Amino acid sequence: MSQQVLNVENVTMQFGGVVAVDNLNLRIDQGEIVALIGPNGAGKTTAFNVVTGVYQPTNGRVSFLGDTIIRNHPQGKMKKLYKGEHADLYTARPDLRDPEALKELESQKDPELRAKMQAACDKALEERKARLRAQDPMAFTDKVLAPTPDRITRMGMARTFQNIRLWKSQSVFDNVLTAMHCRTAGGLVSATFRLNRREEAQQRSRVEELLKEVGLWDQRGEKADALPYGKQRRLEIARALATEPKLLLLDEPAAGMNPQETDELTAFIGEIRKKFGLTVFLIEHHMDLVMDISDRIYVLDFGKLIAEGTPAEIQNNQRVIDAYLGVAEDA
Amino acid sequence: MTKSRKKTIFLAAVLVVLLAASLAVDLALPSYHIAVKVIKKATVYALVAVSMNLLNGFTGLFSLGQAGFMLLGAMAYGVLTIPVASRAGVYQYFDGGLVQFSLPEIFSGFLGDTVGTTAGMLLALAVGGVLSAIVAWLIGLPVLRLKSDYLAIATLGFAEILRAFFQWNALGPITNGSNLLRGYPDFENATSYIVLAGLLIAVIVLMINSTYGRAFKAIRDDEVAAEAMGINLARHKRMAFIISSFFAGVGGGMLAMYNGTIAAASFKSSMTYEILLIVVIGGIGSISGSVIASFLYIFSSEWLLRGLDSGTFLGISAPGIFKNGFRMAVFSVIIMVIVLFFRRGLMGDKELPDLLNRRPKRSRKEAAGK
Repeated sequence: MSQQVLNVENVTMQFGGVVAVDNLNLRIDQGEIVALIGPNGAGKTTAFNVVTGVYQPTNGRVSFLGDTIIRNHPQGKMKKLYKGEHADLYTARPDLRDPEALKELESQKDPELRAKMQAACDKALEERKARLRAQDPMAFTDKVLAPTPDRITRMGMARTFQNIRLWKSQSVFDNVLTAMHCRTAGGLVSATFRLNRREEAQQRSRVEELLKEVGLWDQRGEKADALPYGKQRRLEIARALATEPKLLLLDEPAAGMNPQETDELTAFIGEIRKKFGLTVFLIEHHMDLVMDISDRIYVLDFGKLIAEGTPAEIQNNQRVIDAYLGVAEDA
Repeated sequence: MTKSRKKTIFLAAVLVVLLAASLAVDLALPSYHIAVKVIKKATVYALVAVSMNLLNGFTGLFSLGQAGFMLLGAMAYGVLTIPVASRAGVYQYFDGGLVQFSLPEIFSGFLGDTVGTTAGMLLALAVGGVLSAIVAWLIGLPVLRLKSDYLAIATLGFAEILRAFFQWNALGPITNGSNLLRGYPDFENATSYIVLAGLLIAVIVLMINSTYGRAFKAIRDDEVAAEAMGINLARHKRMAFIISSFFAGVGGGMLAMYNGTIAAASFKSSMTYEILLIVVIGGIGSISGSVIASFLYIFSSEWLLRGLDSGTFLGISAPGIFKNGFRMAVFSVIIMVIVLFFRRGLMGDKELPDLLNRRPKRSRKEAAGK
């Protein structure tokens, strides 16, 4: 069995009462290219933001290379609002536990009997928790893991953005060089007084390598925002690669590209995967690209996973077709 | 490669000329001459402006606490260097004060008079810097969570609190309350100021060009991207804040030296604005811009436009118009003109050696095309 790189379990992301990602489960194995697709507003980017630590999920767990890196369960006011998996375990409202029992509880006037029923309700809840805990020892532990995005990047996950976020005022070369900062061993003093010359030189030669790889070496001195759009996307990928990732997350890498550029990008993603031994997780709307390079595809709609499988399977999946094209009301 | 070497030579030449000029001024003019005073004050302001630029221009943290950190440095310098013999006079309302030693005197005990005094003075400056850095770390804990305007207001408030704190009578035995600290040693000549401030600015420049400086600029350009590329925002912001405060503290100590007296009351927010003005005029994100602007600013406000306050300016004698306060009116107009015509400051985000770059032809063609 190949090694699991990313494993997302029961992840729910709620903004107040709005469920953006609803109980998402997915896994990505070593060396795979996996695509996450879905109509606009399906929660794809939110899922990315959860995995990269930008958002803290309301519930669920994310493991990376076998270690749990993100974990949370509904807390505070989210206990009441939570609508995802095992909602009854977290919500403070008893009506979600068992509507019948609640009705009985409400109608019961005798305080003694009422207390007894309340206790029975609580006991049933605890028993359920215990059963779930037996299945999964990490469930319902109070330990919340919420590393900041920079820590996740240092663990070996790098991303690009849907709307390009380069450091615009800096040169192409410096954009990539700056991304290597997170792997710098030298401290502030040794960097200031140039005691880490060898490290700096190594980084510079790696930048050269990377820029030649992505075909931007000739434009290394130009400001990042002076590049044409397609090249800015490439630069973003090069910058992400500079952080030495094991998993590369691409958020709509082909957005705004013409068919020719998209083809080039498709080839390019394949190349870098081979060259750097990467695992790639991407969000994309260009179906040509997705169907071309993905090993597996996950489909999200309204935050819920509606299908997963190989490109061929997804193309013939009726639920996916419905999600994209809509369903006739009277059908 | 040759271009970068050319730039290095150019920069070295500028530095040598500057040093030679200050040496010449020192040799030719007495230390009370206005030229020496202007150079001294301008170097101090250059140092503080560069330290502020590090924060506001390179890290994108809009902080207005510079005067507070300068006050800390100045106080530390004064308290540690006033000769023991004159303490009774200085701290006359506080029985001669609590601190009964003077660093320059201690050091001259075993290093000889000249070397020892200098070492003691430098150490006192460093202590001021470290004190500022520690305080910066402390207030950075809550304050650096804020962004843009809110950070500016919080740091401004902190600086004001610090000023009030140092004027507090209960601290009198150390700070002399709201009375002046005076009688401490100073560097006689302008060259020592230039060398000291120059070395400190050089350290800042080295840091900005190191991997940490690049991380700071990444935070300035796009915080979200910086964090996604593995740059720990909290840690790097704190770092920039502490470093900037350290140099502001040392600058404050040097300003105290130059002034000859220290009064907490003079480290008002208007001093921060003066420095901010220098940073903006020089160009946010340009070290050489800050240095040039501080020399221009101090030169014109202290010397060139002095006549506007005292009756005669450029040979025109008009005591009716040229009286107290008129200088600041003219000065404001000049600043407005500069800001109007140099939107991004004198230097933009370029450095002095960048002036050697020829304008790329393409951009001119593009401009013509539009």
